[in-house]
Amino acid sequence: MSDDFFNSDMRFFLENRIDWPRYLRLKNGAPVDAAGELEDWHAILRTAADICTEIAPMARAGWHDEVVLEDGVVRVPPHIAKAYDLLKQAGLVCLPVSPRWGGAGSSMFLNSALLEMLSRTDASLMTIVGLQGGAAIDIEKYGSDELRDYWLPRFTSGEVQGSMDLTEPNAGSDLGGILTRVTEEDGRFFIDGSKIFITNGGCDVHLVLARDAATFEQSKGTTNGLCLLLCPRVLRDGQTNGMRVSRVERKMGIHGSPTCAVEFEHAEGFLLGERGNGFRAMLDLMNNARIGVSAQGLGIAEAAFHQARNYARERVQFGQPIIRQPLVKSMLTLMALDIQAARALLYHTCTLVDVCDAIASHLASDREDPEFDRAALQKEYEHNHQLVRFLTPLCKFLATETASEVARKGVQIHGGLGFMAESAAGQYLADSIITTIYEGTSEIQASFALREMAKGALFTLLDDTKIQLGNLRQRFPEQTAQLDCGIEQLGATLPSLLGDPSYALLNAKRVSEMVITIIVGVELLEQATVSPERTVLASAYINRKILEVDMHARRIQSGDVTRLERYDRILGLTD
Amino acid sequence: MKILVPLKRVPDPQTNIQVRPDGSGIVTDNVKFVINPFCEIAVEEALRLKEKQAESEVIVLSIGGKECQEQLRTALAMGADRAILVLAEVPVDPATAAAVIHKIIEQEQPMLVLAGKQSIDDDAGQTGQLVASMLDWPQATCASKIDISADGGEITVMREVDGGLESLAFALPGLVTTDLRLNEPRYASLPGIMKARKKEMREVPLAELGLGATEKVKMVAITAPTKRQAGKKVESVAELVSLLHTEAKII
Repeated sequence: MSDDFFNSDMRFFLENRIDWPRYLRLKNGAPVDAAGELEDWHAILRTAADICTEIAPMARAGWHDEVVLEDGVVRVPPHIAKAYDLLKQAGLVCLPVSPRWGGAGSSMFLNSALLEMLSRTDASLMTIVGLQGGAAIDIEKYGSDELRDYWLPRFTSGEVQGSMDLTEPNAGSDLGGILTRVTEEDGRFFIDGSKIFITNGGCDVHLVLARDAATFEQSKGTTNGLCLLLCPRVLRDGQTNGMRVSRVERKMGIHGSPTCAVEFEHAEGFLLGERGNGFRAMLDLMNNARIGVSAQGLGIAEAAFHQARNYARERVQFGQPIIRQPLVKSMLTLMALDIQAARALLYHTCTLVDVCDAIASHLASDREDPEFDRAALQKEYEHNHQLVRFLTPLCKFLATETASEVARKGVQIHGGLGFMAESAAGQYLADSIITTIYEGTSEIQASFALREMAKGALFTLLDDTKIQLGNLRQRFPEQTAQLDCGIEQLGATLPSLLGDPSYALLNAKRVSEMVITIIVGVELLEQATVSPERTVLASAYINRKILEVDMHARRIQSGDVTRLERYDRILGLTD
Repeated sequence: MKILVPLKRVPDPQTNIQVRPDGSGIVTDNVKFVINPFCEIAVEEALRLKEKQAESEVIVLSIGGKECQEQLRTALAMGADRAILVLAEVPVDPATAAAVIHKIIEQEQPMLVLAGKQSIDDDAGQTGQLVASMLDWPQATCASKIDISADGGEITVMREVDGGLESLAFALPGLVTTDLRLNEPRYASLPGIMKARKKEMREVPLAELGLGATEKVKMVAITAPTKRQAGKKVESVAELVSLLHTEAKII
């Protein structure tokens, strides 16, 4: 693992794991200049890595600086403003938007690599930047031509910034609780209500989820009747819109990223997508955001790992660097393995998203390409799309939990120094926690994955996996046999899970971890076929994790829903 | 105004350089290469002059293998208009580099050549001056500020010298080499990167330039600097003084 922000895994994926000529041909039609595009992507990531190198020292020195609210204006700390400016000048704040509006139309893979780098240098900055691509893509997908032509060039140039205003005091994980109201008056829409915990809430353009006043009572408590609206702080005629930031929060980490309470009082909004169908539009945004937060977790983990490894090499105790202590070396190795595993799953998922996206653009066009059969593509799309829905929550679960575990070990390796306020190790740990919470907690992710499994995604996945294992068997007999055994154990748990939904939910994280071990194990073996030195990584991962699969399988099979009653007794909830 | 900027591909100054065991050079595997920082400043200055003077053209030039395309492409992505790569199989010495640049200047007829004052790999610091002397051009080295008259005919160059600043002016065409404080180079931007691929990159084999034997310097061997010895902690000033006298023998 190199110290370069543009790390060797990113290069490896970029160069080996994606069929770019096919992707480009599907996305834009023939002819394709894949080598040229690849060179551009390298250059984009190279620029991003150079900027990250420049801003890293500021990010560490300014980590404690808080966002302030002054006369209704939200001010980010100077290092965040400076870094954003550098990214803006380099045109890197809104990569996914189509080139038509000044973006790069970048693949999910490229965007994730960029976000991982940014998060590794400054997780607060990444929160702000990651949001821009997500918000702009929602405008691109659901906005009217007028909204797109006006706002998107302003997003890609970095002139305006956006936010996603979903959370309310009674609507956290459950958006059915939304009470902010949108009222139609002569064909225009006006928003009234309060939002909390709004990341980047001091920005110019808010995407607000609000309940349609016309169907307010009927739809209350559900996700029906919600509208997604674009709500600018200043209207196009120069009038200030009816909204204000009433407070900024102080937090445990990501201090440089504003978290605001926003009040709306007869604020004009502009519909994105259909009226009453806002939840659908918001889900798209959420899915992208989950991949973005996975990349954020990975970036923090990578930073914490480098910090700890470098420290362990330099710190001398008992006459030798502490990296020579078996327990320290073991912690570092586990950190490295977990990071590689999370990255394998994330980038694999990104490539599935990208292929889906490319197929969708081919199918939406009237291009006749002898290379492709539309019916077969349609099938491939549905297949991949089902996997993406299943793997996205698994990614977010794995990458963010990995982030806090890796960062926790990083503090431990630093000893007392890791607990001091100046220590970067502690900063990474504090920043990592939010990644396991926002855009859906780890528990929500595991339950989503379980739901997709129940809808058949597990069988689709295992069908693919078995074919892959068949191809890998001759080369890696031992490792494939271990994974075969893991699949068998996973299968054996299914009857216990099917009995009762509560018992299935109780085991959602265990099942998720079992599935992750199998996907990641296969992906790492696939990588080892391209690059044999990766075999040691794949073997170490499989050896270690397959024991946990066994443990989870036994635990699931050994119980039933009465376990919840026992928990009640332990927690004193029996009366 | 036409501006020519020669630039050199060098190992990233942040890289930990390792010498090959046989002393024939440095280990280049897994080493990141960049535009020589002084050359990058020259590119930036050329782009700033171009932004001030309408109808200017910035041409970047490098000498070396195909891999130098990467650095030229970066300069194009920063905003240079076109690139020339003189293909040479082995690294060239300053005299050869100057002879090549001389030939290209004859072909392109730029009004201004902006070069880095030295490259950070072998630190010779000769190429710019050699080129100016070959052409019998006016030159100013180690520029920390550059101004060009409105008609583009005269250049004023500020140099940081011992005890203050020196200001030189001369009529163009001429050559200026750049120092560290001249500017802070921009990053290659996304729109710049996307445009760069469509820009011209002309490749010229070294042999085609019809240069005779120009090689004046031969690299004999490279050795790593000796490792610094570990320090020693002393208990008192008296002990320090005594050690400085008896061991270090400096007082």
